[in-house]
Amino acid sequence: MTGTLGLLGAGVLSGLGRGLAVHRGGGAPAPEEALRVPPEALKDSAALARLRRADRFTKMAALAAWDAAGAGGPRPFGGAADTAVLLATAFGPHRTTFEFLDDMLDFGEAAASPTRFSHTVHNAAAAYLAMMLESRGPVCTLTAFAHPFEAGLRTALLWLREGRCARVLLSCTEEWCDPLESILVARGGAGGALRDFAPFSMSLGSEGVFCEGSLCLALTLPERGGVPFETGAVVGAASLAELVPLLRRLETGACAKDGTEPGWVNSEVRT
Amino acid sequence: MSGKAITITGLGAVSAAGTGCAATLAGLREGRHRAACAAGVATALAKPVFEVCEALPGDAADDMRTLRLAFCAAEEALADAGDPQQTPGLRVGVCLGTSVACQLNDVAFYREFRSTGRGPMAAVERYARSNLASALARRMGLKGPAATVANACSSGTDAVGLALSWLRQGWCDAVLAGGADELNPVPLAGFHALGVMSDGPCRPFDRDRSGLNLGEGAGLLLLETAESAARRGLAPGLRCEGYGTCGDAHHLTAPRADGSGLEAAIRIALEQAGIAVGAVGFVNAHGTATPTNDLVEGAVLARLFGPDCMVSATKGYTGHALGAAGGLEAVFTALALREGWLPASAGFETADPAIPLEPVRRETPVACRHALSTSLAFGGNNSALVLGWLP
Repeated sequence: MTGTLGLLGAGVLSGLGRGLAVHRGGGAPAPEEALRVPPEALKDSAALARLRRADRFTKMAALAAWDAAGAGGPRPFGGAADTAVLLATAFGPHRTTFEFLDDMLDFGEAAASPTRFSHTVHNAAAAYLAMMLESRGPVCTLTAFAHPFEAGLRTALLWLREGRCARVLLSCTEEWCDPLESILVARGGAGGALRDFAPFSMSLGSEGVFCEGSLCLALTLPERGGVPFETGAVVGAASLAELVPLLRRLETGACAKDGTEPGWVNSEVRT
Repeated sequence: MSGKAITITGLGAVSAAGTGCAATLAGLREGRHRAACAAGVATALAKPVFEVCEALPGDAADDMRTLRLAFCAAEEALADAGDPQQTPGLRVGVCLGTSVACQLNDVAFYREFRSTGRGPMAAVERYARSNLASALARRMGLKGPAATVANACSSGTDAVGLALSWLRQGWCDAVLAGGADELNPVPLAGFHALGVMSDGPCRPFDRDRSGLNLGEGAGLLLLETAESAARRGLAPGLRCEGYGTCGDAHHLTAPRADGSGLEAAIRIALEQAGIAVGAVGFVNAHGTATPTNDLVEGAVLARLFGPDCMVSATKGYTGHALGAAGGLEAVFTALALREGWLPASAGFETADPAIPLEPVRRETPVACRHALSTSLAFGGNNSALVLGWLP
C-alpha cells in the first residue's frame, strides 16, 4: 500500500501563517497560542470569491488547496474531470457542528440555520474545494482518529494507479474549538498523550498539542511529473515538521519531468 | 479501469424494512411501511421517520447506535459469507460510510459543556470508540485495511466503491463494505431547517412528492476476490463489477440541473464493469422524494436507459438512511438480482409529467445479469455501482 508519487504543489496554513515560506524553518516549537490560525491568514478575496458563505474549516482547506493547485498563478489547476479531491480529517468541522447545536439550544430545533447545518457535513469542505477549482472528478472525505493523512495518501495512490484520475488534491485539515480542547485536556492531551486521537497534527514540534490548519498536496504519478517521493516515508508523519523536508524539496528540487516549474501544477497532464 | 472479478459472498441488512436479509425481503414483499414519529430519538419535531425497532447487539451505554446497527449487519454478512475471518491468512478489510458517527452529535454533552466548561466524558468515549471502520475491524478481528468514508448520503456507495478498488489493486482478499447511520436529533433538525422533510410518508418520483423521511440502518456486503472465494469453496454468484463517482462542482446542497455529474458517474461505473447501457436490467434509484433529486435523477436515468427503464425506489420502506442508504440499496440490488424480483416502489402512485419515467408500481419479476444502484449527496457527489449475477 505504498509507492512513489509525484508532488506537483503544496499549500500550508497553520498558526504560523500561510504558505511554504513561513514554514521554512520547520520543527521550531511554537507557543500554544500561536498554533491557532490567525484571522488575517484567512483573508484572500480572490481565492475565497466563491466561498463567501463557507465556514472557517472550509476556508482553511480552501486556501491551502488554492496554493497547492497554483490557482493564483499562471497555470490554473481547475476545470478538469480528471482531477480528484480527497480530504482527510480526524474531527472535521466540529466547530460548525457545535455552532449548530448552539442554534438548537438557543432557538429550538425547529429554528436552526440551514446554512450552518449544511456546513456541518464532513464532505462540505471537499465539495467547496471542487467548486473553487471547478474540478469535476471524484470527491471523497475520509475520517479517522489516527493518521487520516495516511488514509488519504493511500487512497490518492490507489485512484491514480487505477486511472480514476490524473491528479489528486489531497487536503488534510483540522480545526480547533473549545469543546474539542476540553475533551483533549480531559483525555490527557495538551502536552500529554492524546491516546487514540492522533490526527495529522499541524504543530511544529509541540507534540501532543491539538493544533489546527491545513496541508494540501497536489499529487500525480511520478511518470507524469512532479517531485517524486516515497509515500512510505511520510505516511506515519505525526506533524507538519516531519513533512517540511519534503516540502522544501518541492521548492528547491528538480523540475518536473515535463519542465514545469516546481510548485506549479502542470495543467497539461493527460490521462 | 476494468479489472478482475470481485464476488459478493455475504450480505447483511438492518433497517425499518427488517432486521436481516430474510426479514427485509419479507418486509419488502409485504409492503411493510413503518414511517412514524420518532420514538427513540429526543426530538419535538413531528415528522415521520423510519426507525429500527428491534433490539440491536452491543450496549447502548458503550457504543453509538450507528455502530450497533453496523455490528448487526456485519454479523449477518460475515455469517452469510462463511465467516471468512476464521480463515487463516485471509486479509479482510473494512470500508464503511457514515454521516452521523463521525460527529459528536450529542446535545446532552454540549448542553453540559456550555454550562460547566466540560461535558460528560461517557459521551466522548462512546464517540471515540465509534470510528466505524476501526471499531468494526477491532470487534470482528479483521486485520486488513480500514477506512471510514464521510461523503454524506453517498457514503455507503462510495465505501463499496473504494473497497472494490482495494481488491482490484490486491490490497487484501476480502472487504466488509457498506454504510451505517442512526436517527439522531441533529440531522433531524438540520433536514427540517433545509425544508426537505415531508409531513407524511415519502413518495419517491410521485407527482405529489413533498420531501424525504429520515431513516436509519446498515447495509453491508462482503466483497471478495474470485480467487479467495474459490479457495474457500464458494460458488460465484453475485458480483460487484463497477463503480463510478463524479463531483458536480456546483452547489453545496443542490444537484446540477442537467444531471451531468450523475451521468458521468454512471458511465464510468458501466465502463469499469465492461458493459453497455443496454445490459443493465434495472436501477435501484437514490429516489429521496425531494422535488429536485427525483427530477434530476429521473431525467438522467431516462436519458441513459430509456423511459421504459425498470427503476426501483426503496426509500418508501427505509426512509433516507443517509450514510447507510448506499449500503442498504446495494444490498437490496443484490437481493433483487438473486431473488429475481423487485419490490413495489412504496409511496409511488401518480406519475409526474416532468419526470420521463416511473418506478415499478408493484412487485415485478426481473431476470437479468446486471443492475445499477445510484446515490447522490450533499456537496454534489454522484456515485454509481454496477452489480452482477451469474446464476
